Amino acid sequence: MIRPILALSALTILAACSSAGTSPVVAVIKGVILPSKAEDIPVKNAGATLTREKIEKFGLSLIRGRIEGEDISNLLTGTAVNDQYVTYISSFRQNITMLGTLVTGTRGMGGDLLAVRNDLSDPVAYATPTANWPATLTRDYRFPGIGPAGNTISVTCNLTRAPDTTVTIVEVTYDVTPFTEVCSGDGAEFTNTYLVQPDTGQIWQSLQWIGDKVGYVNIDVLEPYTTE
Amino acid sequence: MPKHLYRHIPAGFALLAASTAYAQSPSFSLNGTAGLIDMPTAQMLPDGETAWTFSGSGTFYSGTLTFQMLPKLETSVHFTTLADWTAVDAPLFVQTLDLKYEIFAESDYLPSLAIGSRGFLSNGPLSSEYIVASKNVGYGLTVTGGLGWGRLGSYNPVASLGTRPPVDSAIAINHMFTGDVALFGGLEWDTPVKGLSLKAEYSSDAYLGEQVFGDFNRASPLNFGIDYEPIRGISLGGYYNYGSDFGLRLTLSGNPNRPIVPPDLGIGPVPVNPRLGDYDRSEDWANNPMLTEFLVGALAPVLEAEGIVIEEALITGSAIDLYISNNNMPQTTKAIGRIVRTLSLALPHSVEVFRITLVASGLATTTVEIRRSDLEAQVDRPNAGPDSWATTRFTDAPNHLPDGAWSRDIYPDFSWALTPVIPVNIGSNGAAAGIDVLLNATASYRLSRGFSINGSLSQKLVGNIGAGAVPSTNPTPVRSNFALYQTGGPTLDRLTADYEFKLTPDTYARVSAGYLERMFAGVSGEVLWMPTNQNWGIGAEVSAVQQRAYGDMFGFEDYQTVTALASLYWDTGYNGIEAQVDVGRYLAGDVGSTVTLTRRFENGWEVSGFVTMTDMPFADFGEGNFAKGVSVTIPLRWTMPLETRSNTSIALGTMGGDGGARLELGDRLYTTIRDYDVIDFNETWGAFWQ
Repeated sequence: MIRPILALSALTILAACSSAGTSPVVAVIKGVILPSKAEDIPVKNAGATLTREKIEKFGLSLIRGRIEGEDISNLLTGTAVNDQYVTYISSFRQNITMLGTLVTGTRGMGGDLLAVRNDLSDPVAYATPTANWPATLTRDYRFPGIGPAGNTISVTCNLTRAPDTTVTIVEVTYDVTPFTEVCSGDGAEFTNTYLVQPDTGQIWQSLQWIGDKVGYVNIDVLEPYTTE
Repeated sequence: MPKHLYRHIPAGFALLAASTAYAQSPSFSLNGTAGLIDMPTAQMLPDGETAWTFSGSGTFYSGTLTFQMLPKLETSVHFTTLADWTAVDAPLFVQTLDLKYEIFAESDYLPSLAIGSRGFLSNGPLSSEYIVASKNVGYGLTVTGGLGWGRLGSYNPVASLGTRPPVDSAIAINHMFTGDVALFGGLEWDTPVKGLSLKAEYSSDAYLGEQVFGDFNRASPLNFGIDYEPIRGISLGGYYNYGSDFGLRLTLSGNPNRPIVPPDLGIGPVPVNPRLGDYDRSEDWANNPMLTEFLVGALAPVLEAEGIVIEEALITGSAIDLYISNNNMPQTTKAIGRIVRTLSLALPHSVEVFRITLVASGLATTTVEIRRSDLEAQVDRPNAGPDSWATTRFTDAPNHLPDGAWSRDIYPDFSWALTPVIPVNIGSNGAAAGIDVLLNATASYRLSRGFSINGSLSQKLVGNIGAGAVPSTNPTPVRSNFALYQTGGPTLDRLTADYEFKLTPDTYARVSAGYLERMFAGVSGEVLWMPTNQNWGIGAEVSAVQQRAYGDMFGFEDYQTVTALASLYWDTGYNGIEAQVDVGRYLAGDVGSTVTLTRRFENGWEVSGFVTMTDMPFADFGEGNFAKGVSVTIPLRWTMPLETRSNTSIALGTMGGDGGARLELGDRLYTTIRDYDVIDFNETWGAFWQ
């Protein structure tokens, strides 16, 4: 269900542009920005009545994000695809970029995570049946700082699993294996958690560290991004 | 000769009082540095910590700016009035620079060790040197002990290292660590009550001058105090000193690394989507003669929503050139990133090259060239920062695009602002402290991108600065009569015609004429050569001016002069430190040099200090025999959740000194363009992807 460019942010931009009749130039601009409308989004506020029917009808990749410790969730729509990185954007133009289910970037959330380097065997970045999940992995988290590379925090993470359980996300219940990921390095220590579908490796719910300034973001995958 | 302090404290300074999460750091002493009461400790404040302290006792009152310039180097500038120095009710005003360097930090078993100098570079009435050690021994208790020279070696000395020269305000270093040596020490207990600490110390300062010439009675070497920091950034201290005296301290502190509000709360950028491999490379669309107008019309509202204004534009089938002004985003590189993301989203696929030129105060500075295919290949990737830096080109920009380019048609453009200003006169020889509340109105009428007419008018609302002011006896009172200008108002602070332009792509120029500042009018010209790929530049400024009348808004005094300065600017690249050396002829006709060091933080904080020495006779120059001053600039974004380039500046200096006095002009060329060279872009390039 690829529709690579679609977001409220783009709609905002389009609304700000003048329409110069049949100008080919303006047509080009409109052609680049998908002609979706705000009402295509099932709900603007996650607190509203979000139903599975609306998600299905929406037909686009969709996640629900919430800063840990805050009460309000936001829906973010898959808007851009660069290589395997998918950027989700909320109606407030908060951005979350993910590789698979690994959060590799955030913008407009109070403390930007610029990028993340991950191992090729990282099961959060590349869906992996839980039987094949590694015990350890490494990552580099990059934050704003002096110089083009900014500040890098390199961590080593140890993964441990818990007994299988279930999780219900907007009317759908998944059988999942919980994983705890304890990471440390360069003065940082944090613990991520994942609820993983054992056979496919799809992570439906996760709590991921995005830096000291913000802490953790809770991600519910409502409609995963696929290339089909 | 009277000598005054004159500080402008915009209302935004009150924002410093806002609190953040509390974390304990070394407490402040009565003189505003990290320390006990009257004695120093070896403790260091957090890197970048900046503190304003106002303190007083029966023997002095002072204002102090303390700045943790580097993790191991504490600097502080004091403006102190010694109440009874030469006789009862005969005060002495002194300016001193203190330095403290941490030799090594505290470890599990060893104390921290520091060496310091009070009144650095002169053997004045407050001069002393010390070596001090401090150790936290648990339970919140910190023990300090040290050896002092000078004033700190004046009570109960235990040894002597040679003979210390007599007290003299001249520049010197031969007095340092000479003469009597005495022991001092003390305890500080960080109590379980949050923010509350108790102090006790044994002082090695005999207060000889205060006892001989004043009525101070040093009955005991023991001092006791209580410090309370109810919220981060505001600290109070009360002290009982020497068995006969009480002292009070108020410190307001902040740290560029500890913003009051979280950063990055603005909206995120628009996404970048790569063109597919078989994208349309046709450039036929570019044949439309109305093309540029159409595209700019579409892009301008989008960019203006982020405070970015398109000044000039030229669009072809394969490239776009944009001259832009960034009015809101504190980091220029972030604005560049936002622009190229928008261009990648909006422009036809055949446009491969994005050239963005930053315009500052009407001057085109640096052109940043980014290829669209690089942007698409780098966005979101782990090495996006370094990779994008490696593929981006930076060149000196011509001041305008070629004829035929689209140009913003908004001139003439009028803008204005009203700002409350609070000048403070902390002290002078015998004068009482004074404070004014002024309303300052500024207006700018811009006739073209480079040519503008600027004015500034002030009206005193309430205050007492200038009351009872008498003319200076100095032979060239270029500044020492500043109090005579405080007539209540309205006062015309500036009315100038200004033209800024470029002689070549890497050479900037400015000409200003009119009422340049409150005290002088005339003509001023400046040239600055600073290629964008270079971390240094050379400038020259020549001004022919006449002193303005004290009480007449448009009249003149007789004094005329020509002042000329050559300047070397160097961005060291080390911890954000920039150096500036000016050499030439100052307003009073004296010849000399000014050295300015500035530490600029990535988030816009800036702390600056200068020293000026000239050939003016010491008798005319005044206390210290050289001019010095400090200033702090705090970005409004640090205190409020806004994307803004506005800031608040606080200056503390020798406004009333005649030696080494310069014209107080608006932004000079280097200040205008310094954020737009490759060094600065490199330091802030991480924001490109924000």
